Amino acid sequence: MDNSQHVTKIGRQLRRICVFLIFFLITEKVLFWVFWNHIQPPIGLMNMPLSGGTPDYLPVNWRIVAFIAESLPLTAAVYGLLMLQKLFRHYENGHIFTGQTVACFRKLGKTLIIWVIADIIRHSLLVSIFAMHSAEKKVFAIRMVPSDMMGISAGIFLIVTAWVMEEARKIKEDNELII
Amino acid sequence: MAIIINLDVMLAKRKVKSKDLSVHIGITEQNLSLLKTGKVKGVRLSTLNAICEFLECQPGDILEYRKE
Repeated sequence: MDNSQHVTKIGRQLRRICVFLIFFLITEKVLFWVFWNHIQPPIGLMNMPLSGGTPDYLPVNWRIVAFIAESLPLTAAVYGLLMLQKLFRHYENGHIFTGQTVACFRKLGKTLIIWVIADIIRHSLLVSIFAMHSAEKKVFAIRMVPSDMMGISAGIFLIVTAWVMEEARKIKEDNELII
Repeated sequence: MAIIINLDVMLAKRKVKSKDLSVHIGITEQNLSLLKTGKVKGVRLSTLNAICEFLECQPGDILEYRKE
């Protein structure tokens, strides 16, 4: 198998993994909030800064509000996975170093930054919702952890890398037009 | 661009087909077409050398500068 066939094969496999992850993410989030406290909470929820933890019971209307808060980073994550899927489809079709793949990298970088911001907002909203339904005093918290800074840095690096790839693509096209 | 490529004129003068020239200088007919229509970004000296050798002409017969 030559290199291009190898890239096509890996692109196809990774694209299918992205599709699976999209369905898994959405299903996991919906099921968690529908069957509140009967399903292991997702990793992000385990670090809620309430000494009493999450409330045992949450009314349905507040679960809907909490799910709307949860859907902020979820939408960014799903969009990121859709961009990844698009990128791997290009690889599957043999388009490795084109304007479309560069655009995918740029959008992935922006999506990563938006996801981090959305996650910070989500955390603050969920803390407030949980505090309203717990015996603890009412709190509002904005949290930013090192992994958030790493996410933003990774997003910026992706955007810069996409810019370099775009410049390199233009140089490649110019070289192809030197007969 | 102010550089005009007069390859079509030389091909007609020497009564040579584009296909024969492309085979001799080792480029595709598509690239030769881009060269004839001036849509290229540059020409390698080795390519210019091969064209002049085949058409028995000077680089100035192929390339012309016309101030815009």
